[in-house]
Amino acid sequence: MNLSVNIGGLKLKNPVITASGTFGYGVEYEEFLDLNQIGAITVKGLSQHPAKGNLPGRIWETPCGMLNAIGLQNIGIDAFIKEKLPELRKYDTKIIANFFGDTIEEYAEAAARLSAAEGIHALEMNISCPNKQAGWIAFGTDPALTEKVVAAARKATELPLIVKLSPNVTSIADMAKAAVDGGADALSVINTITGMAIDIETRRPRLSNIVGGLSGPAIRPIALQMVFQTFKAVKVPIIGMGGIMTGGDAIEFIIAGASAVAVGTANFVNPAASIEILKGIKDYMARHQIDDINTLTGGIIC
Amino acid sequence: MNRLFTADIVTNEQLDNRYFALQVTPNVAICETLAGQFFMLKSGEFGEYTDPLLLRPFSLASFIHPDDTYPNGLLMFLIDAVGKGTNILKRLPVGTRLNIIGPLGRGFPPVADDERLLIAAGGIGIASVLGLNKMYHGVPLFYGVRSRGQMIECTNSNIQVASDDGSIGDKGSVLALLERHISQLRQSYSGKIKIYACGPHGMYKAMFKMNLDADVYVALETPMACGVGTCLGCAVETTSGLQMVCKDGPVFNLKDIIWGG
Repeated sequence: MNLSVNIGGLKLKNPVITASGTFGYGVEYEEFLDLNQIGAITVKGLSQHPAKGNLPGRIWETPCGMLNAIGLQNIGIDAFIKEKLPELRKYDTKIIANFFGDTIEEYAEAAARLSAAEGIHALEMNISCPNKQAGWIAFGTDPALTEKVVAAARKATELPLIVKLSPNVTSIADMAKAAVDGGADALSVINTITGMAIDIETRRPRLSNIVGGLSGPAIRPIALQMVFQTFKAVKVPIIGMGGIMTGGDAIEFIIAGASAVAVGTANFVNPAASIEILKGIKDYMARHQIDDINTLTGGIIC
Repeated sequence: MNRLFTADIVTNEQLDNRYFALQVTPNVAICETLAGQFFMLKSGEFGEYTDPLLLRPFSLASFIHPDDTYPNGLLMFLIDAVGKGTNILKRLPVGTRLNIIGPLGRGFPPVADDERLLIAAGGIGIASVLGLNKMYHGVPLFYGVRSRGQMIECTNSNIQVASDDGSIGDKGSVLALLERHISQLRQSYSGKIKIYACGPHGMYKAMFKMNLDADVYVALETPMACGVGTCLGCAVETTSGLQMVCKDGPVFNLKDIIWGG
């Protein structure tokens, strides 16, 4: 049974990745599961300088999902390279560094600095966090700007460059094309969907940022549809994500066009979720006599 | 030993229309627990029940050590059924299997021999300090409840109770009793006094404003997703920046927290 996949030059032993922002810097979870079994770990989004994020309340549970407005709190690229990366190098898995900047120059510089560190195997560019201010959101919603910022990061790194797309757009296909034109080797589809919740007793928003990003099974059908649209629009590999809780959910994304999947909110519910999802994928392959997971990608029968 | 395990419900007892006591026995040996630590609980097969989605954090009320009947001991939680997740837990029958992560967070710090400890609890906050009550036998316990019906029975010969409606103990705030006790104690004792407290947010804010002549440690409660410090959702503002209730707490020094308006 072949589970290995190639995500735009990033070779993984299996298609299960942990999603950025849901798995810390990886090491937090080493007591709960064998990190060597995961295809890749995507670490919490990194910026040039440490970021303190938003004030509390930062999360709120909604039906089959959760809203978050963490605000990209992180320890910064330097601290990550110095303190966390040496720990992660001990594991036989691939490390994807998720990163963001406030300007095109910052994106390029972050990409360059992460590329120079030993033990990072690919970069995932966050141009789509719903918790940033209006000007920043344009990177993920204006195709011309998307192409420009991706091109700048592309020039700054030799590593496989994955661009994480926002679902908060009119046409995910247009955004996908823009990212690929800019030089993306692969696409992560999707980031969280903008949402909000209000405490009706006090009339105050549940999140200090007022709006946040919705994740979890609630967004799965939307994410699946966007993976399907993206698959039809571009040739690069897609990492499908959005509410994947089980092996069956992961298979659904692969059939829709994903070459790999990322497990996000499920990690909060079960720290060993990614391992169980991998087992579920293998069970499905055995049951359907699929020898190579790559043959299932985009295998939807319409 | 793993902090991710399953446990089966042994008893699930309704205490009043909101409070219930849940006892579960783990299916594996669990890590050592400290008073003030918490566990995240959820019922059902993983991936099957997605609403509510997240586990719910609860203070450990007591741990009964392993014996012949329960080789991995018994964990007891006292829970206030405030929302969807807790109301589902309240209705679960004996034998139901739960998914659990824990023990999590940092408990109440140790008390030195030359320090005097006082325990304060408001409402369901009693859950978090029951372990202390057992560990520091005979230490004064100040316990505030809405009314007699909400009072959880606890063995302590040195207990002082206050209730909002006066149906048990003094009518009014338990903090008045606590303050009076401290001023009496101060007539004969000038050393360090520690207060370990668990109760509603309003109680902590009141304690902060009272500027009590003691080191006060409180157990905080916030919405939480992961419980292990990765989601960064349970942030709280402290004098040294944002900290995570799940990992840096849930027990904090009262004066380190920025209480706001």
